[in-house]
Amino acid sequence: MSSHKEAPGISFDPAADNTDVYAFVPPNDSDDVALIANFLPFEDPAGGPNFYEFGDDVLYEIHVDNDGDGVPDISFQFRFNTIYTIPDSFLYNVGPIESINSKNWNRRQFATVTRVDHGSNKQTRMGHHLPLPPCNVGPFSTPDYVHVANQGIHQLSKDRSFFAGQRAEGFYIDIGAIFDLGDLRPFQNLHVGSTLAAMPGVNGLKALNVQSIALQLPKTDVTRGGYNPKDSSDPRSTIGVWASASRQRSRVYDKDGEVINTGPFVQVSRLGNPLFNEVLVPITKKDYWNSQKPSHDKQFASYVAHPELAQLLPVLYPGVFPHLANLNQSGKPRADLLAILLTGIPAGIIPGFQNYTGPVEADQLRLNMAIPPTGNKPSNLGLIGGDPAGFPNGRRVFDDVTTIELRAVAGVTYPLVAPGYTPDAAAGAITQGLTSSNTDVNAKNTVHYLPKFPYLGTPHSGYYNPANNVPAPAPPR
Amino acid sequence: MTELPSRRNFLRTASLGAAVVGAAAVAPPSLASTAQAATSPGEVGGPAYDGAVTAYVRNHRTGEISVMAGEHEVTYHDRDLARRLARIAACGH
Repeated sequence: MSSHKEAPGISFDPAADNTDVYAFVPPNDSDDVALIANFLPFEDPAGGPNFYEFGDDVLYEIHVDNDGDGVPDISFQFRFNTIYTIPDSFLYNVGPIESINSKNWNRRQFATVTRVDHGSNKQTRMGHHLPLPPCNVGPFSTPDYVHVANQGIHQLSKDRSFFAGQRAEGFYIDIGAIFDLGDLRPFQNLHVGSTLAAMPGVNGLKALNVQSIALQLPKTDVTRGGYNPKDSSDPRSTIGVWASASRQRSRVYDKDGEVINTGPFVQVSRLGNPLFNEVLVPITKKDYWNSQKPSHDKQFASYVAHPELAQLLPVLYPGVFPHLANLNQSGKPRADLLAILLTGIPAGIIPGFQNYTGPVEADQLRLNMAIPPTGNKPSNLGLIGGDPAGFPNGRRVFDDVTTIELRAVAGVTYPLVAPGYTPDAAAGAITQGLTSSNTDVNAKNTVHYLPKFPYLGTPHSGYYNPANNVPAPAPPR
Repeated sequence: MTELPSRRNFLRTASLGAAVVGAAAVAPPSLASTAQAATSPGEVGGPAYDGAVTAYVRNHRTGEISVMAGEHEVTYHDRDLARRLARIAACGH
């Protein structure tokens, strides 16, 4: 969840909290594009009597901009509704859930998928009353979970697949250390005033789940004019992708316990690039950022051009980032970060690569679909690891976006716009310590990703993987 | 005059706990679906919306009232009505 409780307001609304967005060309279906949007951060596997679900009262969307104006050209809308089959029971299930239509399963959720073409204002229902799989409860309730979960993969039509439901969290980050004043455990001995020894990173999202919406469809479904992206230099090959969640403007808690929602849907969460709102936008503007459309992101460009995190690194690690410190002092805007996050990288900067969508500054995942997927030994460092099929060219589920963005902020990408700049050696060495090498696509304590749709792994079972309640060491008296 | 859409076009959005038998056929929602209503009191006619209606008065001095039902919102201007609603609200304080 690269965007998890990242804004004060949305932190109180997990069902609408957009945690990650992925967009990539699958290696096994290179004529397709996979779009994934996750919600509901820090989902413990164990639950009950109610388990994790999408909100029936939330409008979830995945947007595609295929002409570079920051405005969606195509939106895929997802609505959910929940039913009870055994309303007089207090239980989620009264026996084993042996299939997605099990009579033992009480509280069930269904999805409706709609494609909106904003140009023609045409709305096409792609699927209706699509059953979601249950949460992975345990060996008595969900004895053959993988079998039932696979029944939640729906063929909307030829070559168009849909899944929505619980998955294993795919994002990995040493969250406990990183948000402890920028502690990177492998280098924490160098942290200002530190008495801690260097140590391996800890995946703070170990054994957590997430609610995932996944779509896979032909690339031509989302390009301008149905263009088949074969030429990476053609601007029609690149799409901008982001997701959002919206709630109705008014909510009333009625006397009988019912909640009445009225009014149009208002956006309360959005996400394009990982960690954008998380680490670049000031805390007092994060909820406002969530309410805005990407086409208005010019108003936030200054936070990208002069990121606070870049200012902090030389302070937190004295003597480790002298070149970055000088760059900060110069006041020069970080044109590299502006390109990576807000416009895409134009042609001519990196040989053979571009994902530029034009001058409109908008936070989007920009995926050049004409760049073929890397089948053999992809790099989890994506483009800065020499793998143009990875982040920031879209985002694959195993890309180590935290390390990539930390290195970028620390200066490794600045030479792209200022060839005379030499990044600090430490900038290129930054790591969370959660992968064994650049080609490790199974980071520490992640459930192995699937090689096929819906790509995120089987969710952790509540019975086998309860929340890690091992207490921290007692503080000294 | 802009009339609120008829009952047939609206679905009452229920809470998470409500049982829904079968699937609800929902027209794809549009973000911030708003319409400007008559600005003068007395011009509003037609059938009344049969369901929950929420009226939001941000500032009674401007007379702007957001009237919400289903997934739609109508912006209505009526200083007298807004002032009366504000006086009713003051009774609760």
